[in-house]
Amino acid sequence: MTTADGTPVQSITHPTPEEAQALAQHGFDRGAMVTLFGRCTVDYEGRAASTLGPGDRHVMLKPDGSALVHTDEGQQPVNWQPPGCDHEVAIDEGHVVVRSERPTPEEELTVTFEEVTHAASFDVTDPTDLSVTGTEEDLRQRILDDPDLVEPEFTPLSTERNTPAGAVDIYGEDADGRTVVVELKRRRVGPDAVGQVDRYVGALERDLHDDAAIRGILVAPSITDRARELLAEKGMEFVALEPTAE
Amino acid sequence: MGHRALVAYRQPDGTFTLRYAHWGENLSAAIGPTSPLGGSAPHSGTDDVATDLGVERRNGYEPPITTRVDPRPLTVGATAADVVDAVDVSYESLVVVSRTFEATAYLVCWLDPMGVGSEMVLVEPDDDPETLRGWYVETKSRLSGAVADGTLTPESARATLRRALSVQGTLYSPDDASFLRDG
Repeated sequence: MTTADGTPVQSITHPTPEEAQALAQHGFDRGAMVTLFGRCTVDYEGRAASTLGPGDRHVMLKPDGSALVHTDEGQQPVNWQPPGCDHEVAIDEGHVVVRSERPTPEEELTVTFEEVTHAASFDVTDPTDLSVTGTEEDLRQRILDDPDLVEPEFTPLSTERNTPAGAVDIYGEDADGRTVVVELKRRRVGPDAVGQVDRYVGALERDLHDDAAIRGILVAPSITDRARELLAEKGMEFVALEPTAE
Repeated sequence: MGHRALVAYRQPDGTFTLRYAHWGENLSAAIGPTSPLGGSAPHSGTDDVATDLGVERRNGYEPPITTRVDPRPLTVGATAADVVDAVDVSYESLVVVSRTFEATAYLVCWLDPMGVGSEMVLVEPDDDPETLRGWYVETKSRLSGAVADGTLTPESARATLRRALSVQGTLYSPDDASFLRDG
């Protein structure tokens, strides 16, 4: 099957060993990311040796050669191999066996499935760096694409505009032509962020010698009660917005 | 707590070259031997917002930077003490880059309960930096509220925040740059 956005995904629930092996092998061959879930044992041989007894685990085999074995707890895998390993999948006495081998230093991770409950292959072609998703940059882009998210008729004029107090994220004008400083945060904000916006507004007021008051707007997913009070004391505003629309 | 980062690159002679990154979130993970300046800045498609919108460029407009860290040095030949001195209120993190381009991020935490600007510490988180950031925002908000309603003095709020931060990571005071002298 293929998802609606065109990303090739293959997925089989309760596959036979042969179906699971074919799906994984096809995934390895075309550089896809493969995941297998089911009851399995895990053996590692290398600088040390270890065995994990039978348990339900999620095994992820990435096209860069890394392998991750996860349980339903924690963010760390219970066993793993770094990038650069070779993945193999075979059927041994009716069981699906996945091997991830690393030549130097010599290491081998073997996962033997009693049963594969779910097998999937994801052809991940999007090179987007994970580190730049859901960031302040995404929030900036979202606002530049649709400035009305800040308020109706807001016009961004520049980003990263320098002031004596540092660069402001978005510098623009409101419907009445007043200068607006927008500070972006991808996470919940507290007193520090209020202090920041206040400094940019003060610095611009001195810099521009503008008689009209400069408006300061803090944009973030949420704000603490105390920060909201401080913002109100300073006559500045808050707009609740997530970095991405999803 | 956010994205403006002071980035200090260690040089062969032991000094540092200081640079600025505006969108410095997760920057330490993006810096490496093949991407010393953190790689390409994501293309915004609106690099020249003013031109796109047909409005006049304002004083202060500068052309876009194409790498995440601005390649133009702020300072060259900085000592360890100069690096820590350079961390002012405009920065939210300090990223120190070794000669092999391994980067370490320190969060800039302001102890003043009312905002930023007075007493600062650099914190190297023990665990997930995002968890520490979230914890810092909530804790500081509560302390700030306690100062506002007279339950705590600003001095005791500062001391409490410093003590609480020291449980979450390693604290470095701006008057001691010795942690930057090795490596």
